Amino acid sequence: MESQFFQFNRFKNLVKREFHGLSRSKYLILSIVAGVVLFMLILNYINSGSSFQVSARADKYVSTTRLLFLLTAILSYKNVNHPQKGFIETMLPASTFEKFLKMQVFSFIILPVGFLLISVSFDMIFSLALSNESFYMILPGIIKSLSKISKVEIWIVMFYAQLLFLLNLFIKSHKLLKTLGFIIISHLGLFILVILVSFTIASNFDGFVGKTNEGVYNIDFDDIIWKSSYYIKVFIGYGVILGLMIGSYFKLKSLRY
Amino acid sequence: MIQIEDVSFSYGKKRVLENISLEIKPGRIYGLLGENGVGKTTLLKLIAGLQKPSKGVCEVLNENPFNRTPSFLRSIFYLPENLDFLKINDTILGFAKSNKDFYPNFAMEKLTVILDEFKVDSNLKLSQLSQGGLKKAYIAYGISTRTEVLLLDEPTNGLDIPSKSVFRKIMLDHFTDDTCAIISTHQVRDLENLIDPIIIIDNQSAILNNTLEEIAEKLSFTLEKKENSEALYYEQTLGGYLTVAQNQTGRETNVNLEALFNATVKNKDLIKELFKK
Repeated sequence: MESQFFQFNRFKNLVKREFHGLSRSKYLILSIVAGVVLFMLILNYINSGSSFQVSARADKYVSTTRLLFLLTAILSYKNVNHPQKGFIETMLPASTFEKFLKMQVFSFIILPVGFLLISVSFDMIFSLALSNESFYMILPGIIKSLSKISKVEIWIVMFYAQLLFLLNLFIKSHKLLKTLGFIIISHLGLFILVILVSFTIASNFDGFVGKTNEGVYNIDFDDIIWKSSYYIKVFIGYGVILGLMIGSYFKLKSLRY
Repeated sequence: MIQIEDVSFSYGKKRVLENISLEIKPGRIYGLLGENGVGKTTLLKLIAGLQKPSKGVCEVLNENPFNRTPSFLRSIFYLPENLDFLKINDTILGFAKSNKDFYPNFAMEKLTVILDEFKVDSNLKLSQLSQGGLKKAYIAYGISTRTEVLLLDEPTNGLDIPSKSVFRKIMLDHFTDDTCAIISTHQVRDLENLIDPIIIIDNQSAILNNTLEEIAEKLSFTLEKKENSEALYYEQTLGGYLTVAQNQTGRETNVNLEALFNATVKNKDLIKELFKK
């Protein structure tokens, strides 16, 4: 019996469809962004006259990729909940999970990697034409730049990427503006909350004192912060990101047009 | 094929449908009529699974449409009134090629034949087509999917006069006994000789859901010389008064859809009582 939740063939058809026709504009946008980044680098090179280092270029491509990683869901799937335009994807005979997975794969793998590849290609052409360095030098540069990203940074980017993915499903119009507004207000709220909690803890805290059979011991404040920050990190790394993804799936499943 | 039982729906506080019940059978092309804002489009969206009823049961091919399972989605095609979403940088053949794998019964040859009949240039990108051209292209695509249920919202709006008759011909040519279509329209004259049975709804209920034969059995549509104040409805036309009255003689007359609609809207309770099953 055919699975109504996931079937590889349907998923493959969705991916194939995404690559075909409807998404041509996305590749164009990626090429334009890559072109703009390279153009800015060249301008900087001409103006400053400084050496045009591979590492600086690679860092720029990687940081733009990171930015795109955050924004591709909004840019690529802005119509997903549009009252008139969004239904065509919804009416496509595939399960919500397959559609969700396709959106995740394109937003967080194919499009960012695609951008990086386009950037590298442009850079190679540029190096061949203008620079006297070996054109392939950008490749180790990119790998080095990617390896510099810490686990915490990856967590943060993934968290925000999934948050923006979810917000994209909730917000129907003026997506970029409203998303930005939500991020600013929620961060401001969070910041105020942290300050308030810190003040409350600091004003009541002289170090916990407990008694054991062996005698009196003191619990260090730093120790609590360190331990709790570890758990918070793990929670954000897995729980919250997974929660955001599950939330996005159910929101996608219940979209109305 | 489609069962709607006591379905209610509202957009926020605005109640659109209330306790609507309907049964749709295969092998028929239903005409869905109603005044502006009574919820015809909403009803189609509920059947297509694009909206969820706030109350009641909507079942299409034994499935809850809002679950939007792949098996359900591949057996239904919905043509909305507004086709702006289709203004893409691709031809209708390219669009069909990228979607055909999802519809196991998709017939590419049928698509090209219908496009030819509609005189739509299949080499033009969809973004270059007029509203009418876009509608013809999407109707052709929809029929080529060969789904069991076709939901068409104002399909003849924006079509030129020759295309309207082509539409009727295409619908009849490509229609089979195990499929059904529901066509929501205000342009009843465009669809005369195509839609049968007729469904007329208001916010409260389905006032009428009967075949033309059943309607002709109970109502007569005649051209009278004088106004008949006893009639359910009459309007002045060339040569007299088009009059809708209860059929007392048993002689069947041709149903005039526009007059039927006006008579129904004017005498909701009476029509309901008359066609009560």
